[in-house]
Amino acid sequence: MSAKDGGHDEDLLSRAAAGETVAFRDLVILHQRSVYSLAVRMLSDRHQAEDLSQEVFVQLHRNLTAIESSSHLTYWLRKVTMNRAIDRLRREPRYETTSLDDASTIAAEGQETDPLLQRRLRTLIAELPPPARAVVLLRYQEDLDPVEIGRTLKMPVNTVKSHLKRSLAVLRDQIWTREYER
Amino acid sequence: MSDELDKPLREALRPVDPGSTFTDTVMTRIVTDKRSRLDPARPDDSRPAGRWIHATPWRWVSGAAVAIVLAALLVHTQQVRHTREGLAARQALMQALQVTARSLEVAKRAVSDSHGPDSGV
Repeated sequence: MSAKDGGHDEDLLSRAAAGETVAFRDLVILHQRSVYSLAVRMLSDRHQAEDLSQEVFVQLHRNLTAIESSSHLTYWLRKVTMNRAIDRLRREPRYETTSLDDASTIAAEGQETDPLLQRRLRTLIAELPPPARAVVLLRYQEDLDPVEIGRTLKMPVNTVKSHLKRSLAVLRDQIWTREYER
Repeated sequence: MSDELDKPLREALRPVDPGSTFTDTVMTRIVTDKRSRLDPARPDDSRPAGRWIHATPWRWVSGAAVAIVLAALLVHTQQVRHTREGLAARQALMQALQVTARSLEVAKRAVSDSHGPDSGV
């Protein structure tokens, strides 16, 4: 969800808010990758993630007139996706665990670092508690700073920082343990 | 922040695409959602408490017909009860008048006997 094409986004947004279906479809195409990636890494389940992401866009369509700008849209999509994912994990805790197979298939393109390390990191992130997982995803997938993460998740900045610190310690520890065991 | 994990984390968490039918499914769900919000007669399972408001017109008509029939039955029952009570009262009055007439007859006879030729007056 980058704000590089702000002007294009604003144009699409105003046309979609005016009821132009094609413009709304283009907005979906523009943001679906980011929304789906957040959902799939929160839920570790492709079908659940697609369903949740679709619900987010249906909700967006209902609330289009309340969206003021493209940056507001990006913020709104992240916030609603994360809130819905955390709510779903609370209601259906079975999605909190993920198999290594599932985590490994949710891979990224253009890998430069060790693919095994990336797979291991994704599995470990999926095992973090949902709020900590949300913080790590917003930091490293969406490239938000702690203040923006706090605003998105309605969480004090110090809590965001402590989640990040503890999660990175857990990840480092687990990766090191695995390396040492080899 | 952890520098040695920064790059691997960013690469591990690169965005991924949803399935190829994702956008079409979103648009279909939006049409369905819009239709269910525009058509209040359509039953909506998400609003069970307010579902009766969205009942179809024939349900309202049949409900009103049942209410009218029940009201007519109630009025008829009360009329029958009043008629029966009136008849019983009339019968009681007739009996009372007959008893009074018989008593008057007895009294008249007693008076005429006391003023007769053998009375010695």
